[in-house]
Amino acid sequence: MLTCEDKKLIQAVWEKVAGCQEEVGGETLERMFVTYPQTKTYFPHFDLHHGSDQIRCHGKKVVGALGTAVKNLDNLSQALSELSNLHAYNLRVDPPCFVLQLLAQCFQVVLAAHLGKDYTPEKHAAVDKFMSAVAAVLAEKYR
Amino acid sequence: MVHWTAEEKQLITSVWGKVNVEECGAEALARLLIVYPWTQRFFDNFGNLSSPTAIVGNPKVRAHGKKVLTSFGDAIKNLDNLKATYAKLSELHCDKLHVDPENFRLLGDILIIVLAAHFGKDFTPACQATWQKLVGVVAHALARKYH
Repeated sequence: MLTCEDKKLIQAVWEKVAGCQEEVGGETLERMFVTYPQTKTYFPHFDLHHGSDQIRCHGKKVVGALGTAVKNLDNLSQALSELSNLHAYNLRVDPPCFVLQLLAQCFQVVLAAHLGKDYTPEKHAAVDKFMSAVAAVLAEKYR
Repeated sequence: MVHWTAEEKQLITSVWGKVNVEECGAEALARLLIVYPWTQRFFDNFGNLSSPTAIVGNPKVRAHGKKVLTSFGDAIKNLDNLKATYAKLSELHCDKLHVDPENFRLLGDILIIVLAAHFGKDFTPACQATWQKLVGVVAHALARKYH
């Protein structure tokens, strides 16, 4: 469960990311495709080369959605309801928590690389909990 | 047997050459205990683990973190023979310590994040991919003797 302290830490991290969502998003996806090639199977229609416009745009979308989640930490289920439907019925990213965990790992690596020492253990823990909560909501409608 | 390309070996050794084993080891272990608090069950005799500050400052955590990462260094020196290198440690973690191998994966992921925080942009996607492969292979070697 996200405590009050967790929520404050998540928001603090988000403030640092707000100005470079496209960059953070693009880098997260690129790292995911390079580190976990099996994730490319969900994007057969994308140009997956380094610097691809599609990766950058999609990365921006993903981080935008996470931003929505950050603004609605008290009501993740409702805030992510549409995306939950999308992932369950259309995208069928499988198995849900496992693959989203790979994205979460890469996202945290990008945050750590950007924030350095400022990505404290406390922020790390809060963001890790947040990403698990998001993954759980996205997986809600799977069956 | 795991195959390592020349590029992968280069990425591993060049990053490792810049790692302060004591600092990184301490940080990785501390983060494991903070981010995944249930892992504290393996360290009952470590004293004060009551808060992130206590964990980060705990001398036993620091010492053990250094031990763990030093052992990682052995893996890097023996990339072509990880099975044998980790055989005894694998038995130890199963038979004496009773550690669920899932925790090796968690520690590996945390180590990657610690490296990213230290090296920033220098920890490129290619670096990350190689190191994730390395932590995965080490975790696998550690789990091999479980029965």
